[in-house]
Amino acid sequence: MKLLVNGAKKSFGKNTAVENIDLSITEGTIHGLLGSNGAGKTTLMKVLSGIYKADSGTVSYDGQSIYENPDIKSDVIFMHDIPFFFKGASLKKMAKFYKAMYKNWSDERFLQLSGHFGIAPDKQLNQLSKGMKRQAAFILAFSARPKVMLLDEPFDGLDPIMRKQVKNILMQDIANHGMTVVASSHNLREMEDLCDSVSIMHDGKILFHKELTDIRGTHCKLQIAFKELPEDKFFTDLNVVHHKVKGRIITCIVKGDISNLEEKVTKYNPLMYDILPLTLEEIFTYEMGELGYEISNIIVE
Amino acid sequence: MKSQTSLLNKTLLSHFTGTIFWLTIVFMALNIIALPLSIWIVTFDRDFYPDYQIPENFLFQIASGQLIIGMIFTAFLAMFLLNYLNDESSSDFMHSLPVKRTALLIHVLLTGITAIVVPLVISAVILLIERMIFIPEIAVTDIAKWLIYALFAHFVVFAIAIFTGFLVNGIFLHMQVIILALFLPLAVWALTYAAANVLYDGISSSFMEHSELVLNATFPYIAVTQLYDGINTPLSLLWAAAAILLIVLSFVLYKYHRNEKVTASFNFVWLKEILTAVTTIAGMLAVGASVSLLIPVSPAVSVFGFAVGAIVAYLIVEMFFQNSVKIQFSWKSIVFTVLVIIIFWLVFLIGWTKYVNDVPSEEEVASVYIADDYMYYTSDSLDEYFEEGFLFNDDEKVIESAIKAHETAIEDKSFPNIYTGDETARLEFQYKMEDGSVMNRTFQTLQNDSEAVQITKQLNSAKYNINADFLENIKQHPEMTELWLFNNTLKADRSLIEDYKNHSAQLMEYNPYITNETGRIEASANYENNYESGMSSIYNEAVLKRIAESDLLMEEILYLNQSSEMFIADIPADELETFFNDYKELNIRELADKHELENLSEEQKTDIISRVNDGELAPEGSKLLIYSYPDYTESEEDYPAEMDFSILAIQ
Repeated sequence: MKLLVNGAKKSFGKNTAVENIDLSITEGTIHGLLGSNGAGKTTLMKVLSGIYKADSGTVSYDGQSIYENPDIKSDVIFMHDIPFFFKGASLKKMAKFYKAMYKNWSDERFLQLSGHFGIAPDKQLNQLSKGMKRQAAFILAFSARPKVMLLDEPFDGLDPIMRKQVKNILMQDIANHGMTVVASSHNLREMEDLCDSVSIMHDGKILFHKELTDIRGTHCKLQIAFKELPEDKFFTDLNVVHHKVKGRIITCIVKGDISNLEEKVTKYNPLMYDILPLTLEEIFTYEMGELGYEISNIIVE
Repeated sequence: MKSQTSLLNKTLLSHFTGTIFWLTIVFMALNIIALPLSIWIVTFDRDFYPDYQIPENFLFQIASGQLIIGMIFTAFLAMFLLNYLNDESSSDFMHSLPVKRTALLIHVLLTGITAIVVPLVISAVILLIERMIFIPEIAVTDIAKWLIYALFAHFVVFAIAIFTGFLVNGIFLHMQVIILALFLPLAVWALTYAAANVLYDGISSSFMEHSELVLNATFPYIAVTQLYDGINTPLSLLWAAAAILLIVLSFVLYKYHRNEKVTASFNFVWLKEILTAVTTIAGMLAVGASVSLLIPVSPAVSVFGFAVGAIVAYLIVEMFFQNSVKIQFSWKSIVFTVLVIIIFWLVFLIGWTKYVNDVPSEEEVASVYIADDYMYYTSDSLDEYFEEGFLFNDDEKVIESAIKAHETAIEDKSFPNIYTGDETARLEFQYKMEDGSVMNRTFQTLQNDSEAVQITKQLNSAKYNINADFLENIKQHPEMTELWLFNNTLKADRSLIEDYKNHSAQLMEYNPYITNETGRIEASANYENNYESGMSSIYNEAVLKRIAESDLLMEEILYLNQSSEMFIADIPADELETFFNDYKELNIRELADKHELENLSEEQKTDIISRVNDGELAPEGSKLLIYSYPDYTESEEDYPAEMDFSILAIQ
């Protein structure tokens, strides 16, 4: 399902939680919603899941509004940063509830996943550890086979092995069923290898929205060492948009056609050089810097 | 595959039912204890109480316990069913489900109504079984009426509790708001009335007189009293309509206000401000009135009490509303509360000042009753069991004098209502107005020699107060079961009433001081579900005839045989007023000295008792027998003679 947000705004009294949100997320992709605490990520996720009604603007899935629309909601699952289970409920009881609520529920998948994660179906979920609760929430969410998964801080509390397993299942569902995922996080590195596109939120606004494949095709990091530092022409020649000099080593971000970058670099007779793909942090350092924001102020970790 | 858009979702119903299942079981158990079991216990051993008769509306009368339990249950039911709205994670979870908010509320209501209906129907079935086996007096129609009424009462409270759930977030806060919705108007009015009574003299002693509106707005009170007084159909319909309206408003609030801001204690800030201000006023009145009552020394103390009450109440209310003892102050809230308090006091002072100074014009008054003692009858019992005019006098001159006494009382009363110790008189003016309304005013800060008291005394001594005679004014009521004279000593048949009325004209011929102040006897009537009593005269021929026909002697009835001290007095007619005033103020020794009473020897006592036993009473004369009550011993305390002695006019 394609998710489209147009000019969404949500306020609580005089406090505006999110505003001017425009977002388009293609079916079968993972979108990362990044931002520091209080940036408005959770509020936006709740607007996207139809928990909140946008004060203005629209949120639609394949052209249909989600708010108070059970047909769309049955294809969309929202996973809160603190998983919720009914008081005293076991995984089995929650599964029964989910099965009645979500039309694509799969018993087979539930049995498979609960066996895989090793959570006793009859044990009270509220007695489990934070990580186990998260796993239980994932089991229920995956078993519901939604077309869209909205995940708020999804990996919080999971150990690295479990994170990898969850990410794998996510990838499988995206590949096999074209599931769309929106995952919020305040951790850039967490989303590094997961997202197809990312947005950065700050003060309730989306400051930045990009497809990562686009950025990685047009940007790269160049680490280069000279006997003597080159003149400014070097930077303009290579279309360097951001650089740092440490002794005789320059680290720069190069934008534009990077296919013939090596050819351009060798003209300046460097002692050595290395061309590397950009990390998310580096992309944001550059992009946000252009917008006048310090990335360290926005992304905490 | 089920339809996701179908109206009812069994799993959701099952979820909500599971939430309140054990609460419902408890309710059902309490229901059975409170009604079918209680009825069984009350009617268990009929042989043991052979005279016991089951009253006509027995089921309704005994159902009050069940109804109170039920109303508390329904409030808890709504609180727990809507508890998912109080927590962010549960609220988000429920609202992320593919179910509309309105559908969620429909499931909540259906679950709640089922939890109310099922236990009540089970109780009704048990009652039917009891009726078939051992309580045939309870009609099937009565059980059906009770069931319908109980369903109605529970539904109204449920609707109020559901609606209030959409005003706040937090189960404890929800409980507070339910209590406030049900009782705040009554509490504020009762405390306002109490504060007015403490500050002002001349207010009606009948709280109910001015409380009809606020009592009608207090549903639990209405629900319970209707069990006893009968169902007021228009009022019940009004409440049913209000309940339906509240349910509709709940849907509207849920759909359009959406309960999104779960972390805020109140969904509407203005509601919190209003409730804070009004509840603060209630607390201010409670503390202020208590301080004024306990330390009635000066207006400054009262003002201090009210000020402290307002501050303490505001802090407590904020603690409750903010669900924390570490409260956050808001200037806006403080200023609003202070403004409301100022407005309240302006209305209070202007309103009550006008009220206590209000005297009706003669043209407006149909009849009047001035009591210098506490009145024991309710307006309902006056209407039901007594003839029109009982206690009340419609004589124009009496009305004129009463109004004059009332005006004088207003001038003589003190404000604020502070006792100095000199106030000994109590006057209560009760008017029945031409338009059918009533007007009562009670004065308690008057002195015994005040003009108002003197006017009243003159009024009461002008002739025998036939309007206040119990037997003269009691109706031949179909539910009357027994009639007693002399404090349940002599049982009389119902013909006594007619007989007494036929002979009462004779009482008017005697000196009013004799008939008003001596020979007073207590008469009482038992009804199927009621009891009334009052004072009549022993000098009525009908009473003397009943005594003569009985196996009892006058000395036994009047306890003359247990009297340790007796005096004889011969008071000229023109000195009777002084004598009886002294009788009420002087102790027996002072009275004896001043009026030269003859202290009887044992021999003389025996002779007098014998004569009284022979019926030698003489209300037409001036000879008085002043005799002590049983167990009288002379005390060092300076009690007026009337406290220990009674008087009889003898030959």
